[in-house]
Order: sequence, then structure tokens, then C-alpha cells
Amino acid sequence: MKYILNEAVLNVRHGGAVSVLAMFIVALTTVLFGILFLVRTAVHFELARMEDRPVVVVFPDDAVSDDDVRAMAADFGELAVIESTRVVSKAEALARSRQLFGEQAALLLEGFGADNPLPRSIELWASAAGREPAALEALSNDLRSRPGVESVTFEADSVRAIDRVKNTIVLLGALVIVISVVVISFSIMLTIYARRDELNILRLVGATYAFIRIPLLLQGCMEGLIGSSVGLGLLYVLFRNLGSMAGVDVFLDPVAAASILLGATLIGMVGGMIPMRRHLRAVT
Amino acid sequence: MDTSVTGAARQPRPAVEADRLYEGTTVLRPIDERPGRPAEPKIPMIDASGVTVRYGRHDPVLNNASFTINSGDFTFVLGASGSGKTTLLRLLFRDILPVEGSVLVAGQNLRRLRGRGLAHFRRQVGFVFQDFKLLPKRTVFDNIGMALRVTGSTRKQIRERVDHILPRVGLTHRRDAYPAEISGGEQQRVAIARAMVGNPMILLADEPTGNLDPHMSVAVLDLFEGFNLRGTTVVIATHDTATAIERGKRVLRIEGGAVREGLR
Repeated sequence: MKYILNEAVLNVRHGGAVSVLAMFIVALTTVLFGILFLVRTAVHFELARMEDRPVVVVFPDDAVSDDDVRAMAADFGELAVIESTRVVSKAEALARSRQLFGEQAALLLEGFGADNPLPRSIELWASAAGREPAALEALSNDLRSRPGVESVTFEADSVRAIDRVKNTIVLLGALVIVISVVVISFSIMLTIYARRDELNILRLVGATYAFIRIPLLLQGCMEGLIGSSVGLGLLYVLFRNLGSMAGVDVFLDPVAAASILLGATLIGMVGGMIPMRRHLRAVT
Repeated sequence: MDTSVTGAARQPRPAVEADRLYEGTTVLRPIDERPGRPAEPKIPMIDASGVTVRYGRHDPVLNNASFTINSGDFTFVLGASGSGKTTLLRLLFRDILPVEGSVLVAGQNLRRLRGRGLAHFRRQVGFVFQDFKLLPKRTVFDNIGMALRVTGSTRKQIRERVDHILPRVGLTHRRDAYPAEISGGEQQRVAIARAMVGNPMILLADEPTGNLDPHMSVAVLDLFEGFNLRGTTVVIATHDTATAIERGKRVLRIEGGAVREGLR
């Protein structure tokens, strides 16, 4: 075991610039991944916050009586994608505005005298399926066509924006993982060619492929682990200096950090496995 | 101490060298002559049948060659440069395969050896390469120990066995030197020690005296005879007919792709 570890360390050291490059790329990947992780956390927080807000708000005609508005809300509550409804009276709408705008609310309502200009509304909370942009649009169109409804607003843009961020995170994450695997593969391939005479001699004196392969796999793991450790350090420095500016105030929790280290180690191992079959057999 | 039964009377050689080469060894006798030990019947260790080896589209290097080498034999393979001596050894080591024919070593058909089986086979066959094939970044000790390390031997076992064989090849004082720091003859002996440290059934040596001065050549051949007397089957490829004659061992001759018995 000690021999195998020594060999892996020697491989990393003899790898020189390419090993350093591999670790540097993994470090950058880790930083990027860490940032994506923090953004993902922020997006999740935003999604959770959205779940507290109604996704659709229906404004009834002024001509509709309060009783009919409550009946409409009950009808809407029967729809499959709607989880709950709530009627907001004119008085409640005014109270919310005062709470939201504080002293400025008086300026906004100036000129209306004792009349409350704010409309009544029916707020609707949808299930997860109902919060999908397409479902929201269909629901809004359905509600808009119903008698007594003056207008409908919904959160489609916010949902779409969050969807785009989520997709971008997944794509960028996949891309940086692929880049890391390719660079580590390259470093292992160069090690195999740089040490081909030595590996060939090992085969000639009776080494199994496993005996030759394990230190190379460990080399990949080490490059992944060292690179990701450096990357996490860099990420922490970035977080300490720029986190508050970006509105992120919680660093990666220990489980997330450990997951990144483990993931990078696995990426290193996969990167080590790729050149193994073709190049190792070619030189031995 | 009687250190050798071979070579000592044949020609003058440096006594110090000889003593150093056999330092710490016991009396060597042919297996069949050991007291209390009945003569063992010879069994085929190597059996090549109808072997043809060809590189690319060139004429075959070995053409329908057949020969047998028995367990415990000491055999010289003679032939001019390029006649196919190295090819024959590579064949026996399963470094190459014949395009036709079969090679059985210790009952194993080499054509069927793959992966782990091939690795285990090579642990049973010591090979002294013409260019030594030493690991330049390893010490003499590590180079020799590598043959044991690949078998999974413990550090203690490796230390014991390498330290046992180092005096037999006269390299105790070079234990921690790197190949670049020792002479060609010493490198040769490191290669021999590496080939022998695992107590292989067969020792193959490709022109082992080609780069050595006459004194060192005698010493190295004595060393091979010593291993042979302990039961190892030895096959040496050389173009040096005089040495083969002088040693009085069995000779296989390669001519025109055929393997023939004897000098003529």
C-alpha cells in the first residue's frame, strides 16, 4: 500500500507542468462549481419564497358583489392545480400598501380623499405542477375568460427566469466536469507515455495490469483532491471578500464542501480510467 | 570454502572477483549429484513445435522450428547476429507469439496466456535483457526488489531476499547506487540478480556477456552455472561460439530460421 501511494505521489511530482495544470483546472472547476452551488442555494431560497406568495392574482369587476367574489374564490379553489385561495378586500389591500410603502403610501393615495382606490383581489396558490410557466399561462387564460373577472396577473416571468438560471447551472456544471475529466485524462496519458519504459519493464518482470493501473488511478484522485482543496480555499477567499456584495451570506455547509471534494476525487479517478485501456496497453 | 564446481580450472580469472561473486554461498553440486538425493528424471520444461515467427511481410525469422529443453538443462543458443536468437528468447518469454506452431513452457501453452496469467508466468521466468532494462530512477536494491514487489511480497521479505542475492552477484557495496552510477558489468549483474531473486524455474539471458570484458564474462557465466546447479533451467543466447564450446554445455544453433542441435 505504501508503495502504491509513493508511486502515485511520484507520478504527480513527475507529472510536472501538466499535473499542475490539471490541478489548476480542477481548482477553477471547484471555484466555479462552488459559485454555482451558492447561486443554486440562492435560487432555492427564492423559489421557497415564491411558494409563500400567490402565483396568480385575479381582480374581479367592481360590479361583482363581495359575496359573489367569495363564491368565485371557492370555485377557483376547486381547480385541480389550485391548492388554496384567499380573498383580499379593499381595506386589506390598503393596509398592505401602507405597510409596504410606509410614509410614501400617503403620497401615493393623495387625491383619492376618503375613497380607497385599491381593488379587491383573489389570490391563488398553485401546486408545483401548476407553477410551471406553461401551466400558469393556461390557468390565467382560463380565469380571464370567466364572467366577473376584470384582469389576471401571474408570476410567469419570475418562474421563467428561475428556470433559465437552473438550466444554466446544470449546463455549466456539466461543462466544467467534462473539462476537468479531459484535462486529468490528458495528464495521466502524458504520465503513461513519460514512464512507458518503466511501465514496460514492470510488465516484463511480472506486474499485473492492476499493479500498474492503481497508482495511475490514485494519481488522478490526488490531482482531483488537491485541486479541489485549493479551489475550496480560493472560493472561501472570494466568499469572504465578495460574498456580501453578491448578496450571499452563507458559505458552503460542511456536507456540500465534502461533496465537492469527493466529487472532484471521483472526477480524477474517472479521468484516470479513460486513458488506461488504450494507452497503457499500447506502451506495455 | 569450495565455491564453485565449474569454470575455476578452465582459465585464469581474478580470484577476488570469483570470491566476491560467490560470497556466502554453500558448496554447489549438480542436482543429480547431491548426497542422498536420487537422480531426477528429466522432464521437458520447454517444448516448441513447428514454430514460425515472422515480422511483417519479411521472411520468417524462425521457420517451422522445433526443439525441447529439459528441466535443469543449461543450453546455449548460438547464431549469427540477426539469426533469430533474441526472437527465440522473446518467444519463450511470451513477449511475442508465433504465427504458426506452439510453445509449451512448464506445460503451459503460451498462446493461451493473457493478463494476470501472463504476469504470473513471467514471475516464473527470469529474463536478463541485452540492454539490462533497469529502472534509472531506482537504486540497485529497488531494481532487484521490483521483481518481488510485483508479486506482493512484504518489505521484510524483499529486504531479506535482495540482501541475500546481492553478495552472490558481488553488489553489496552498490546496494544504494543508481544505475547511472555503476559500470556496465555491474548493471549486468543487477539485471541478473533481478531475474534470479524470485527463484524462477527458467532463466533466459540475451547476450549476457556481449558488453563485458573477458574476466567479467567468465564470472557472469559462472554465476549462471551456479543458478543452474541449484535447479534453474538456463537458456543463454550468444554469438560467442568459443564460450559455448569451452563450457561444454548443450548447444542449439539457429541457421536459416531452423533450430538445430549441436555446433555443426
